[in-house]
Amino acid sequence: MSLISIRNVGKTFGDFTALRGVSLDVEAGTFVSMVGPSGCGKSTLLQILGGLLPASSGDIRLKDTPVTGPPREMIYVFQQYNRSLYPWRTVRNNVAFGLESTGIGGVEIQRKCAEYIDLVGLSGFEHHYPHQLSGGMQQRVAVARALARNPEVLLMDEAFGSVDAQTRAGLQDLLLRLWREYRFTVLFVTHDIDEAIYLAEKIVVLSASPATVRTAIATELGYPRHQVTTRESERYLAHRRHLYSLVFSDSAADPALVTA
Amino acid sequence: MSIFKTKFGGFLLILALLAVWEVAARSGVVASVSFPPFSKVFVAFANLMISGKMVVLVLPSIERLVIGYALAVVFGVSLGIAMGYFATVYNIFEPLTEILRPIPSPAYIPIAILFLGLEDTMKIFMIAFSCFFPILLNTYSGVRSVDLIQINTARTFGLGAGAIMRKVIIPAASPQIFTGMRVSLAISLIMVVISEMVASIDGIGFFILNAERSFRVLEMYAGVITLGLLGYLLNWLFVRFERRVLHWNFDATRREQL
Repeated sequence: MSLISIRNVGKTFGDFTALRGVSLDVEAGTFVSMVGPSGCGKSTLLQILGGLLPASSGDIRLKDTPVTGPPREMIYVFQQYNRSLYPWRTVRNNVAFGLESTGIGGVEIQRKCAEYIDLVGLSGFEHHYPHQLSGGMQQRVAVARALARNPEVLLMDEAFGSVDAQTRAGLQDLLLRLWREYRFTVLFVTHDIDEAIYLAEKIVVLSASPATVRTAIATELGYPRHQVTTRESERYLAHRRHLYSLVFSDSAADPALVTA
Repeated sequence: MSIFKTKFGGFLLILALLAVWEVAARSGVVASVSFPPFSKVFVAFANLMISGKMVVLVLPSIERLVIGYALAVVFGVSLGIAMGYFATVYNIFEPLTEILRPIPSPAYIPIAILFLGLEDTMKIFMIAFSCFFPILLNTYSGVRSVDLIQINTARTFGLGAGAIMRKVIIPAASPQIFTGMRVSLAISLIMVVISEMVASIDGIGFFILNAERSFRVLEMYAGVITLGLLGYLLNWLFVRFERRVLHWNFDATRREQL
């Protein structure tokens, strides 16, 4: 049984059909990237999966339980870290935000905050406010806040899309390191094909709107990855060629069940 | 020049204007019993302060202001949150507030007198009523404009509606709630004076009007100066409180301006 099972999911906004017949299975512990033409509904699919948006049709299950609201095991990380962090809370209290609703005690919250702030390299910034940090540091706070909850699934929506290229590379490697250590499942939506290949074990390609799953590709690039050598490898470049032609061609494929 | 970098120049301007007042009155350029020199007004003001008469004068006004303002904050923020959060409540009350709001509050005083009499109840009601609308408006527009990403972040962490209200919506809307409270603070001072001028036997508003009617011109001016100082003090207290509660907002917006 897959950890996440998406069956024939559709989403309409009035007359507009964003998703049609999306089916996808995700196995526990995998790192899955989702790419597709801009505006194709990648984020919509991720929000439905995270229980933030109801589907218009179809069935979504997490560990065989239908998703009707945000499940405890999944945490959604937004692209807009500057709007997702709470400006009235310090770094530590932003990380604590996700723990306060779990019923664990104050001492344990403090311990976990310190642990995860350290994990993303922000020790010493506990008492800073978000506006006092750079964009990359703010997104690291958001990652620490998500991971402190020990989620089984991390849903990342263009999570590194708003930072400069160097900072982005740093965040990618940080995420990969944490993923290899904790083995949570990642669904990483991005419009950046290079980022998708660099990070993921499996890449799901969505068609233009209304989105359906066109295909899924196993990267087979192995870990750890390296910003220079991985991106120079033959296999990486082959994926890159293939994915660019897929995403930029407009022919829609038959909605097929794809196991990622 | 360095005096323009601090408020020192601004205080100099006040002193200069007071000097012009003094000279104009003493030299006879503006000769009138209605226009005594500032020094005499200041002496009258100092006498009121030293004798303790000022406290007796101002205390009833402050009491009305504080009670009326507090009522406006409680009701304005509560209904404002309900209107901002529940579309149904908004749809029911928004047209009513839009019709009531443009009518200048002093116009309600005769009605308030008919129903509530001439005593404190009427004055407190008028202050509360006038202060209510800016707080209400700013609260519901603040609540309605809370970023959906802030709310969805709370949802992904499993917070329920009550916790989202307490931990996200109210803090996020608080800068705008404070804006409404600041506007209403000025209104509260205006309404306390007006209501006391219309119907009262004590308070600073009554004192100023009564001094004018009994030709105690020095005391009349001293009363006006007292109001200026009282308004300044109230605003100073408010800003201190606001900076304490919203320090994160002051720091964040200051950085954006740099």
